[in-house]
Amino acid sequence: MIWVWVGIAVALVGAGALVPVLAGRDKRLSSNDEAVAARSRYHQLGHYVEDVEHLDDAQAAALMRTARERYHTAGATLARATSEEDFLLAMRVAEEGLSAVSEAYRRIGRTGPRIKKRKRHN
Amino acid sequence: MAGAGKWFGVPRWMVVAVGVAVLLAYGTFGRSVEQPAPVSAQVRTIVDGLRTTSVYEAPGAPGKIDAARARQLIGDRPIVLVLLGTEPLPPSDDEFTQPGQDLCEQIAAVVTTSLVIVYAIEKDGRYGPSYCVGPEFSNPQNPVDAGNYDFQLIARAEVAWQYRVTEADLFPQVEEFVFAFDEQAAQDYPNGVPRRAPVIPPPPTPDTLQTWQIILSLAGILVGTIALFVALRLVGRLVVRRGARDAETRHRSEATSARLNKLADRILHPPAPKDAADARRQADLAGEYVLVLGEFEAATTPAGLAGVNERLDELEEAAT
Repeated sequence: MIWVWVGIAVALVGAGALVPVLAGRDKRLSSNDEAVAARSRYHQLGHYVEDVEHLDDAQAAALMRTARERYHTAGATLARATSEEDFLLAMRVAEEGLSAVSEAYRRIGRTGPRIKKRKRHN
Repeated sequence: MAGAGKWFGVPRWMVVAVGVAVLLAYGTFGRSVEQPAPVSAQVRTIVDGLRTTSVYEAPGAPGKIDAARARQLIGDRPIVLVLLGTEPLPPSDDEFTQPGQDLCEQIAAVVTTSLVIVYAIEKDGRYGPSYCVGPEFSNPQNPVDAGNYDFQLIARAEVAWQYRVTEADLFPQVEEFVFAFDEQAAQDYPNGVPRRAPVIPPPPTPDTLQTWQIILSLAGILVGTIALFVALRLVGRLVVRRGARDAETRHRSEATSARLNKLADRILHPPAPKDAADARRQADLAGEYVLVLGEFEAATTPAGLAGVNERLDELEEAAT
């Protein structure tokens, strides 16, 4: 019986020591805003690059190719993202792709995505 | 805040807590308290032997007194008889007190309502009796002059036994003491002689050594708990710090991977070379890229990734 009380006491001391420290571990993901924004940008970019038609303008085609590369990279980063910084990185990569799409569309006289100036976290 | 809340570099609440703990410990263990005198192992053994009978005969007793006859004679009178062996008793603290008398008083302190007779080897090597009166022999239920059962009783009994005892048979000493008791009790107790009270074993009392053992145990529990708390807190911080470092390394790796992908797109789709030198430069760039890719896959530390990023800066500038 005494060992039960000893075990309970050790558990309480351990909880008192570890909980305040370990509870602060996930503060990096306290908000889901970055994840939502990054996925939004990623899917927006996918809308432009998943079914690309043949473009006669070589520079526009090269820009669309770059946008596709950014799309795949953003997807890979999103798949492994666990922190706020990871999601911001994925969003930045997706925005680079959207910039390329916007430039390509401008060259062929279409209205492309509008890139809002965002306040960067890093 | 950090400076204002500290005394001697230690948080105030901790100083106050330690002070309170020291005061409580002193109040509990430091002050002297009245406690029953510790009972020796010898007295404890004798008293245990007297719980169901009026006579205790130690192993090795010389047999100068017939214990069975003495038991039958004393019956349930408030008298206990202790027959020790021939081993000399340890000297008493008081040099003027015979060891047997000292032991007798220790026994009387436990069997408080009885008269005690102890036979043992005295300083002069003689096997003889010591007599004493329990401190509560005279009590509110049976008030009596205890002095009548001390020297006077012994003197009366001694007169009677002096021509009856021999070197080998001391039983008449006991017998005459009992007769003298009966004579005195008949005068002092008109409503009936009190019977021997049951012997209550003395409670165990901690001695000084045990008290310090308790203090050390409590101090050990306190220090052990604090040490466990601090150790777990340090381990927790270590785990959290390592987790943060791993996350930072992982993020840096992802960022480097994104840069490599972007550079790969440029290297895989270079502009048409203007001349042979330009073609050679593009080929060299592709070769450098493959080397950096190998470094990236081998890099597992922040320093390794920083090196890869420096190489990437050069390659990106060359690819522009």
